Amino acid sequence: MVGPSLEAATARGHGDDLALDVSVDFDRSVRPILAAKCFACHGPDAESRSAGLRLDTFEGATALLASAIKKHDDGSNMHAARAIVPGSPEKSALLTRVASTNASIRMPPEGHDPLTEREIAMLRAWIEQGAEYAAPWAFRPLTNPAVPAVRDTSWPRAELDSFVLATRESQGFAAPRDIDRMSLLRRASFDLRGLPPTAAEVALFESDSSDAAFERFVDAALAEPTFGERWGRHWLDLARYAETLGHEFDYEIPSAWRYRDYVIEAFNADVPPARLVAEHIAGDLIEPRAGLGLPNVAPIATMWWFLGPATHAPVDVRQDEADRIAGQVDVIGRSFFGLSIFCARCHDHKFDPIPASDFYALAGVARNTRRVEGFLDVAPQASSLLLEAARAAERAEEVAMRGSDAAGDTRVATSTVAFGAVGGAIATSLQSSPQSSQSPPQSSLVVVDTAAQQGAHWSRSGPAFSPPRRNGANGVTRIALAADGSPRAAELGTIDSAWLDERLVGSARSLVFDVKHRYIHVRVRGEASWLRVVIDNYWLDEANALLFEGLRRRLGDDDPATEPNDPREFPWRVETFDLVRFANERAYLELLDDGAGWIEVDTVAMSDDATPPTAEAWESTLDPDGVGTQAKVDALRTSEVLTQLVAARDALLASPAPMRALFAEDSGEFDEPVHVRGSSRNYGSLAKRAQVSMLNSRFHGSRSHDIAGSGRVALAEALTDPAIPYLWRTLANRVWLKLFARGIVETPDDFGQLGAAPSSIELLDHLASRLAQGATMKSLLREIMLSRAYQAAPDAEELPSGVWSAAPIRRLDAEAIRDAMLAVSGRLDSSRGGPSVPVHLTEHMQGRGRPGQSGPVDGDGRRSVYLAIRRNFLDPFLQTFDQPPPATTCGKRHASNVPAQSLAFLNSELVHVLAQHWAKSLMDQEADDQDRVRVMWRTAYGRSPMRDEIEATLAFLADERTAAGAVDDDTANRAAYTALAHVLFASKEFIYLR
Amino acid sequence: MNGPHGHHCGRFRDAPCTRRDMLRTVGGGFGMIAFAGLFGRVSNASVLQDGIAATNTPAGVNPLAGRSLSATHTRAKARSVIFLYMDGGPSQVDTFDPKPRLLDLDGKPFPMETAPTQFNAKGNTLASPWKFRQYGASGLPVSDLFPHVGGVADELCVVRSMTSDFSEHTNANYFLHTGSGIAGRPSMGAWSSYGLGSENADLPGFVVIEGGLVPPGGLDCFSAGFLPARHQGSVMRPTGEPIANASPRESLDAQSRKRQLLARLDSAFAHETQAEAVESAIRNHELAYRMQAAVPELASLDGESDETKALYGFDAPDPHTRTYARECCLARRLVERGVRFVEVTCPRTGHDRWDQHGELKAGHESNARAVDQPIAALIMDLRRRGLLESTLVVWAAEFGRTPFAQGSNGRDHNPFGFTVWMAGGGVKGGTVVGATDEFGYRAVDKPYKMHDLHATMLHLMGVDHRRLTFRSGGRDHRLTDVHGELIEGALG
Repeated sequence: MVGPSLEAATARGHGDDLALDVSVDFDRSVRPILAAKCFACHGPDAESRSAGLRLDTFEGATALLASAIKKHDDGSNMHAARAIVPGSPEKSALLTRVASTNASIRMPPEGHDPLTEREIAMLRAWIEQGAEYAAPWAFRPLTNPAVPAVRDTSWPRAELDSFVLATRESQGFAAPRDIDRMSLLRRASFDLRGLPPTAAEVALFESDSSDAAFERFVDAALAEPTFGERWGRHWLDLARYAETLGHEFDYEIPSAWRYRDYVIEAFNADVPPARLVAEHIAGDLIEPRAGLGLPNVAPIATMWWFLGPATHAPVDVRQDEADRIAGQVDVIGRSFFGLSIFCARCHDHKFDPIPASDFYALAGVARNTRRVEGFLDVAPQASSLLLEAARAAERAEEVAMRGSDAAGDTRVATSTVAFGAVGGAIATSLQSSPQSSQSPPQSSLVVVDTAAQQGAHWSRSGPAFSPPRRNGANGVTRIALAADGSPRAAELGTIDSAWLDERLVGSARSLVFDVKHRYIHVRVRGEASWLRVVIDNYWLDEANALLFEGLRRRLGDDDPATEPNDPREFPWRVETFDLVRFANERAYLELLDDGAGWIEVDTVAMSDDATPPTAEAWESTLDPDGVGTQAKVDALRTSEVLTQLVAARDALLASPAPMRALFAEDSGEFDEPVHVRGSSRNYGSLAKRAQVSMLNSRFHGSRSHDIAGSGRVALAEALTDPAIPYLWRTLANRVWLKLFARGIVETPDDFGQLGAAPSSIELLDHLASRLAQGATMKSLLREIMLSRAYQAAPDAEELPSGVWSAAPIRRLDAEAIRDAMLAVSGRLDSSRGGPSVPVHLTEHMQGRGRPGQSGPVDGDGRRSVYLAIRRNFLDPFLQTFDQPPPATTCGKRHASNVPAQSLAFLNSELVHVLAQHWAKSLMDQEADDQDRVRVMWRTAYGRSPMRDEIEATLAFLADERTAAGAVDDDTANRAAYTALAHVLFASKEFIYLR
Repeated sequence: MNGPHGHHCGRFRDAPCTRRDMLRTVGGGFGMIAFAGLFGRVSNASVLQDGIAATNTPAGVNPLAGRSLSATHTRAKARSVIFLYMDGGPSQVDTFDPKPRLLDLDGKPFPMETAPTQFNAKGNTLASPWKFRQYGASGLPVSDLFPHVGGVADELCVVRSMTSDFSEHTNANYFLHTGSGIAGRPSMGAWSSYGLGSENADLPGFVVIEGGLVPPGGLDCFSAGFLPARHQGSVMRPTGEPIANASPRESLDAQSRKRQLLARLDSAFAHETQAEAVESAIRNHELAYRMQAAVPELASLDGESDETKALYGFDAPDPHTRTYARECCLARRLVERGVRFVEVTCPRTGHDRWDQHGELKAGHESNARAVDQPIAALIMDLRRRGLLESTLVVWAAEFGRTPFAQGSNGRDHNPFGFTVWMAGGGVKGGTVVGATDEFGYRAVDKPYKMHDLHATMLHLMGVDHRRLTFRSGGRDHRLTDVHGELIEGALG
């Protein structure tokens, strides 16, 4: 902050003679005026720009106006020539127009609010001073500002204290006073764990309120698993976390809770923010990290891409994909950029320097990322065992091949060439626009995939499918194992989930291809497994096949009596899919072997003919295929390599089975065209995927990241680059917002023009720099909580904007209220993680997709973060206290104050049940009334009761016992304490933090 | 024990509403008015007299009455809206848009080019099984599915050229309710509450009477979206506990004893913290306490006259008619008390809403029987009480149905041309606006979208849809996004 701002000067009554010696801050004082009043027609978006004038850049605002070309008869310009002439307000057409009293000339035009006198004066002063444009603050590089000097040097403890105090002193406000220690304890306990301090902690603090005691408390709380439950929940708000898909039937997102557990554990493990974000974007592609008992937990983070709502019956599947991607881009934009990139879907952003190509650079990343319900290793050695098996197979194949005839080699070589040609053709046809490719003649068969080299180019998860092996290129014999461990010669050029053992599970997906022909034919065999065609990454046919009937097929539900025992004896069949509704859409094949069955695919081809290809037709495409010689394979029976292969298989079978999980996977490498006016059918120029201009040369120097596949790794690298400011500023602000109830920027998900400006960019950058330089969330939290600023008492009055004020009295958020009731009543079940507790259904919760069974009213005592979040059946108690609906990123919750909250305390079943439980817990302890009241106060309020409170409460208990009537003492006591517990729950001190 | 109008410590009173200083002067008076408001109509004038009109209320202080507009943009014709949501999509050609040409082609191939629909099942032309008759002075044609509504035909403005962007229930429902096909946007009721507040400080501005069918898309259809949570639709049920948590679980005596101790604790805390939020919460508690008594009375239809009950169909032979009759009567009671926007959902008749992909005749007949008499009664009842001119009644669904068959006897979704109607609230009655083609498939004359319906509804409430905005996520949002034309032909 440099001296009093112009706003401060005008606010104090110097508005009439705007002090020109005060320097106008463009970003704070001028851009908001231009953004609100001018940019809609004269901003970054070329499409909606009027009169060719743009006022968001210096070049645009100072260019010769188009209207200036019109001349008076004497040759002079008809209007002032430029919107802005730096240093000369009187020559600037902008000022003439906004200040005009003639409604037909005045800007903005009729129907819009004119500029206020103060705004005009501000513009005048700014032009007078040279009309300097600066990049919007959020787009500027991070600075590491020097710690400001303050007058009251006794106050600051941490560096950040000097920053906050400077904002106060610059406008004549002194440092705030410290809050009392008991309130500090309660504040810190809720902030760190979302739970009240225990009675023991309160008692301890009452006897030792030293700084050291507080520091010990903070360190202990940071180390508790409750920390991750609290801060993980904040993160879930950003992730629009839910466990169902909403829309008509509210289908479940399989095992969504694993993502919740991932987040909680990541916060507890203090995973560095850069790593956390990289795992969200590309956890399946980066270095593994062990967690949740898994050798690599990072892929679970990518479930985040797919936590949005989804509909089961899109008539236009491409539009549906575009809409889902728009939701994903929105979450990325708000969460990690703090910008409304979503607004650039249909046109360049109206107010912020975000071109539509940036939206599609991110959309391209999303479109090349497919949602996979695949398999994650549980056994640390699983992936190495599988590789061992593949290597042993290779060696066995080499042994078997020795002495093979040359003709065989030639045939296989053909196969490789054929695949190369086909693969190339696929890529080419996908890159070209639909119009330019020519349809081949009717009935010709176009091979899409030959599954050569065991489908080397397919992506796969789980241990069932073989990793790519050399033999596809070099051998004529492919080794598979029969159930008894004897070797068998397998089909060449197939992808097969039974090569090692039928019991192993896995899934595999082909490259993507364009639907250029009406029918797709798959030469396949298998048992108890799934084959499906996925169109435009649409997956919800799993739940409801409406409109997508027949794209997902179950194999091998034939009569087991007639089935051969050996997979090799199964006849090949052809599955034909009619894709008439999906012409030119992008598709891929998925094979799923999720149990004891198996699936083997040979060749995939398309044609315009519904008749499956004849054996001859296949033969012509399948030239290189064939079955290896069993005799050669038999010769392996006694070889050492076979023993190794069998040992690897047995070890795999003995390992814990892999876990079914939802995660992301790269599916292609295609840049997405800009959708003109947001239409998924009207394409403009290609936007280079992951090349977001905001992350690059436009603001932050030229940086290059290798863009491979979907571009997710490159995107993660750019976002988490220490020199790129967006992530660090948004994160620092989010932490501040949660601790102080007010952000340094009040709009945590929008740092753009329509958001709020930072109250102190210096403070924000100070904290953001710490994160960029590697500070973890826990270390930053610790630093802030031990600062003087955190420990300040609320300010008695509202301070002007730009002045830091201490955390105000604030209501606990939804989860903290419910969890506090569980904690004080003794009902809290502190077990961690696992499947969510089903939501308790009231009669007011109706509609399609309503779960068949209601959950327990008290959620089995589990913390709120473990209650199911069903989009169409959100917990009414939590909703009443502003738990956000999981629509998109929500960095700041409402803090509503409505009668429904009081009704919930008066009459909800939950509150009554927990009041009874609290009373029962109290009765279980041998104590007198005074002791019990003291315990209740300490747990509920984090302090001991005062004498008059005790007296009033004892009187209340006596009245309640009387009212209970002629019952035994136990019953009367129970009733009295239940009533008292209910009163404490409903009391404001219980749900407000000082 | 303090009575409902008493106060416990002199520091704060029952009055729930305005700034602290105002409370000190008029607080006691407000308690009376607030309470009265629950039991009968309070005119705007009487509220203004006491200086606590919603317009003077700073945002965020009064939890219910706060409004975003200090005055309406134009003179409001309608004070309230009753939105009769026809879940699933009734068929336009079987209700309010007669197409005799379909009779000629019945059972023959449908002669027009058609777009893909939900099930992509294009069967033969299917003529309406119902006859149309002309009703009233206007001669408005209404099918035999709606004989009672035919009786009030002169009040209806039938818009036959509505269209939607979506063929699926949920997206189309979000579009109908929020002007956007995706979940999470504020419902039109929430926008109305946000823009105009509630005329009754003790009741929410947006109430949904839930007859058994929550629309596909769930409660998100009634969401406040990014608007403050107080504008969320409050779900009321015509039977059982009308509003969640509004029924006491204990005796009034027990509540009173607790209330005294609570007041003491809260008062000390409020005194110590001096926080407006705490005082607000305390006032809310007092309000909630009173609502426990008021809501059941409001929801109880026992006081309605026998004649009124019979008018609505409380004693109809079909139990679904009886359910919907209670819903419509409750809707009237709510607008009488100043609720801004009431949405009424359909009862569960056992025919999967109006969504007759098959068995059109049985399904539509059963659905129509449930709603026909109560809707007509609602219009008549509003009219005779002088409320119809200030209450806009809207009858609409997310889309219509195809004029060709799905299977042998059903109809698929049709978003390309279908019917909605409005009545009262400044609407020109006995009129038809727009038209579909000769088969009732596509809107050909004056095609309108949901944004236009929303713009028109807001206009009738005195709100310019272009100027009712809320900033969220970096942009100013409107119910009508960047769209919306008034349905001029409907304006009286």
